[in-house]
Amino acid sequence: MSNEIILNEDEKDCLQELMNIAYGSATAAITEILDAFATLSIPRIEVIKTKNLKNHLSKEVNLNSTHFVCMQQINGPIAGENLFVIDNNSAKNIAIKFGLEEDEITEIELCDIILEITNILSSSTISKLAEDMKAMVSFSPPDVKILDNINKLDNQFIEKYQNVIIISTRLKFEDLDIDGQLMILTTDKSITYIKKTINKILNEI
Amino acid sequence: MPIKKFEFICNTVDNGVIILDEDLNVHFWNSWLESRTNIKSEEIISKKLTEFFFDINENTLKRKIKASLALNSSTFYHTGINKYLLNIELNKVANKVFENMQQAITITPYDKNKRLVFLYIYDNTLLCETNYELEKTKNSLEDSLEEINLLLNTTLEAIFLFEDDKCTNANDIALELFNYSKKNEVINKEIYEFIDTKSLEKISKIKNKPIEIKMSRKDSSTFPALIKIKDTKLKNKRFKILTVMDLSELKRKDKLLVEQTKMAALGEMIGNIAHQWRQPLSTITTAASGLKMHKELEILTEDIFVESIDAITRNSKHLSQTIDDFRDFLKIDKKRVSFNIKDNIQRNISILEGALKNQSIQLVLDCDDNCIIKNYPNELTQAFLNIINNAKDAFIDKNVDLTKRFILINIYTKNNNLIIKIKDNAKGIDPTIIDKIFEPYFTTKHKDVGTGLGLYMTHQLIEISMNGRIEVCNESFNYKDINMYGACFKLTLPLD
Amino acid sequence: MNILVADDSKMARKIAIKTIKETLSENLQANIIEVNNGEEALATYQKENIDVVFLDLTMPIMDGFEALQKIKEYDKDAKVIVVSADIQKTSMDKVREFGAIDFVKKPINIEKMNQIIQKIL
Repeated sequence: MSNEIILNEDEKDCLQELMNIAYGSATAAITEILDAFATLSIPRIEVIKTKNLKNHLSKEVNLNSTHFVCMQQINGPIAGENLFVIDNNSAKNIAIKFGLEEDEITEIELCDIILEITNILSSSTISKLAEDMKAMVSFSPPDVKILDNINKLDNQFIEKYQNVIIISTRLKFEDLDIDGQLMILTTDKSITYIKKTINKILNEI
Repeated sequence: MPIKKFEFICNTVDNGVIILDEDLNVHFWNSWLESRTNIKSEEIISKKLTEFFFDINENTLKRKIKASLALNSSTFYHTGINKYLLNIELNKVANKVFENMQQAITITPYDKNKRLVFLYIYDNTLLCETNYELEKTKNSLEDSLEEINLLLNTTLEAIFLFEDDKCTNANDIALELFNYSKKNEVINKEIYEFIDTKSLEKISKIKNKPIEIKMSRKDSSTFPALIKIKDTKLKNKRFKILTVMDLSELKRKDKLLVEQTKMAALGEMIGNIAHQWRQPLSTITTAASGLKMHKELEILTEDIFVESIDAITRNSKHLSQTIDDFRDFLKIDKKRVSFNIKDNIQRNISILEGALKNQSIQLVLDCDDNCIIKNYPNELTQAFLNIINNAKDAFIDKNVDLTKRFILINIYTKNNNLIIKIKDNAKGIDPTIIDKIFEPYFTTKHKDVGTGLGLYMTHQLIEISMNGRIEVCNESFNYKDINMYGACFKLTLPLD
Repeated sequence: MNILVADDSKMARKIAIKTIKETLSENLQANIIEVNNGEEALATYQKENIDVVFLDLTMPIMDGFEALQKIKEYDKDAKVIVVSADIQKTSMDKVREFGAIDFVKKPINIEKMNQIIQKIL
């Protein structure tokens, strides 16, 4: 997992900070809707080769229990995919927070809610990130899958690209027992753009 | 954008366009919606959407609108999950899958201050129908696949599939039969790897007909099998399908029956030997005890002595000859030898002499003295004996008049072949079964008595071992002015 | 004057320091100390004579909330300004409750920095 060639320490640090700020607004948006308090965690930046992606993901996500995986495509100079992973239990708790009754919570309802959350997270996080990087992005409607096996993640995206930058953060509502992970996967071309923009920002400091 | 253009776009685009506020009041309703819902713009403007569409979940819609305004970006209703927002019945008649229009909805923030959003409605019915068909096809394919798998794995035969000469698939029975534990152990093997190395050349003879051949298991042990190979071409690939049926069990049973038949034949022969020996032994005993008696009574003359000893010697020689005959008979011919046909037949007849006399069967032989044939003498003997024995059994079964039991043997050469005709007058073979008598396991006798292999083996001996032909038919013939009717066996053997 | 900047991100610290320096006029000289986690922030405050603290919330080892509490415990008159990306209302309320002078949304800019410096002086 060498990332010195792709992103150096300073670039990583800068990206991390930008993500921190962007994610801060996103979380605020969600917590306003959910009327709850989230614990923000420090975003993690990793650069890995796409062929190792599945392996990496299977380690990140403990698939012993069923998880919802929601994917949304990002289009623009920063292009790639947003992955929001959340376990069944946390999803249920979000649903309850959304005002659903226990008996109203079906798989379909949960999927819908996860899609919404992902949409909200994406829009705020990436929009903010893009804004700071002076890029215009648009999103495709997200798609959700229920996973109990990492091999079911049939991601054709993976074959096309060499490297992936993974920016991951946690969405944690301690008292509500909600814990999810947001991963932003960016592609080769975007990596170049991101580097350029980050360096511009760094030079202005 | 000038109102005219805006109106034009909104009313000609192929989607529903609504402007809503966060209390779900309608501010704009385009023509697409008018025609599909039959609700005019004037009717619905300033009214709540839910007054016209009762099944909309208010909370959800309000929440999505609030989110889009707060985030200043689009939110969605997803087709897969929420089938539709506005309940619009479909007018389809033929090929209707869904009752209502399947919709995808996008909610885009328009005016944050006035709390207005744009709602776009896309008719996704066609996509959903296609997905539905796909799902149906997928399911039926899965069912078919399961069925085929079931079929393939419950047959008696092992089935192997070869693509371009490499094995790509095998059914469960194949793996079991050849002692492989996992399918990937046979993948990429070539056909010859499953065949006993000693039998490999037989493969070249196979041409869409099943052949008997020895197959080789994973541990190189072999077993007899009946196999068939089908060659076929599909989309530029050469396919071979190998089906294998294990004959081990059948062969074992076969062997047993053959043994039994041999035992039966042997039994008969021993009976014949016993019969042959009775007379000479009796003569020897009589001569010996006669000698003793004469000596004790002191009336032993030179002549009586010589006569008695001669009788003993003569008969002992005869006994010895009989043993030699039978010993030769039991030997399996390894090579073809030249032998005199009359000698062979006469020897055979002498073996049967006793049994035939017992049943009052008269045997007439008409044969050339100097006819030499190059073949397997013992095989001919076995075949001959079997035919005669069958005739004998027929006489008994059909209760033929004791004075009229005849077997005529006519031997001559024709066209470099030796013809042996054996006719009896045991009333012939039932025409309905005459075609089957050479088949293995076919017998008219009770199953404890007949193995059904006698004539089959005779057939194999004549046609395969001796390279000849055997035919049977019912014939009537004349002998000594008596009309006879019975079976006629015709053996045709090459002279060399 | 001694200013303590606590943030785990090097870039954030750099931005903060640059903004501070640009806001302060030539008259006011300031000595700026950087730390990258809450524990060090507390230790440095206790060791040195710090006038103002610019504190991030999301830090490893000890986060901003805890550091704020502990610094205030140590010195009830400590002047702490929270600079964070965590702009949840609850966070902002908590922070004021613990005794921070102000809460600033990241990234901090010159105008806001000006306001703050005015407040302090």
